[in-house]
Amino acid sequence: MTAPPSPVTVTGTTVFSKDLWNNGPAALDAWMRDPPRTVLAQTVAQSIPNNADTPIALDKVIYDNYNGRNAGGTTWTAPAAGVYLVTGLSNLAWTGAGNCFVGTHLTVVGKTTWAASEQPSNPGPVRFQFSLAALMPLAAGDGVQLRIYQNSGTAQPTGFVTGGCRLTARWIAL
Amino acid sequence: MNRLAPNVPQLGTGAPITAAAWNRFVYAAGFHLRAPSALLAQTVMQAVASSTTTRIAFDQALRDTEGGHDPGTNSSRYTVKTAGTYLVSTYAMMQGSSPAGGEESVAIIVNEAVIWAIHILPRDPGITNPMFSCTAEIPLQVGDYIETQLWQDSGTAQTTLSTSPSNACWMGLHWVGT
Repeated sequence: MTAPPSPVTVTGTTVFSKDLWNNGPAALDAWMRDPPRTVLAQTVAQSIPNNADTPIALDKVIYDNYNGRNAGGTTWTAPAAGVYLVTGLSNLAWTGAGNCFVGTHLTVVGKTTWAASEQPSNPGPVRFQFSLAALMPLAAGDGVQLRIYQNSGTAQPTGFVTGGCRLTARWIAL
Repeated sequence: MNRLAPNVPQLGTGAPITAAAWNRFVYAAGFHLRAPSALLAQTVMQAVASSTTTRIAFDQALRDTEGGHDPGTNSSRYTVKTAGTYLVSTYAMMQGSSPAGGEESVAIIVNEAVIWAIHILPRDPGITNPMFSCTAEIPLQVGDYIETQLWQDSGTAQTTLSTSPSNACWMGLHWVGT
């Protein structure tokens, strides 16, 4: 776990020191340039079962500066408290029937769904791709997931036409 | 205009806070307060051919801190001047069409090759004018270019519905980190 820098105020005739500088201007700039963040992608197809909101396994780490991705790739854990900008891209190949629906969710595990898009499957395309974004207030240790739901009656695979599922998260403020 | 991402140095024990170090802090503060960003708009309707990818031509830049957009040449592109990670968001609207069953979509594409975000709608004649938006965070190098791509496969050309800055397809982007 980590936290953003917290420069101290000084009084009187305090002389600038190495620590004042390193924990102030230098630390703030470093944090602003590279706050806790991740870019994860899926490169291996995943079966999404019928009627189950399923976390997407994101097997490829494009960036993850605090190693927040779990071993299965289904959850990214926030290393610091704050407001995060989270985006998700889903891709579900579709051979299911009409009169069903497909949904994508950005969810904090055990807490809140902050963004969702759900769409009827009729008229049915050959794939469903949704782009979501949300501002999420997270505690250190909160887990973020991109989930897909479908109720076609049978399992459906994630897809890769135009690119597979992605999840990004970025700390933006306390 | 090309700018370098800021980098305020850490100092070692006994090292003085030099004018150079201070000025790098001042540069960083200014950079973070006004990071590279652009907001491009389309105010003239554009044909979207059937079953052919169409990149939205942006004729106006409501904001362009680095001069990454040229309304006269390759106006669909924003070309990166400062490397880093960018938050990119786009919005588009076009004529509805029939028959039912095909696809309509908007996507964010980099270098005409990699789609970072896409939103697909199944074509439904009940939707008068499909509107879409999508957002992505994208690591980019100097010279990379970002575009918004439309697709529809109705069998006939449709048009975007941009008529003014307040009724436009648009694409916005902002540098958010290294």
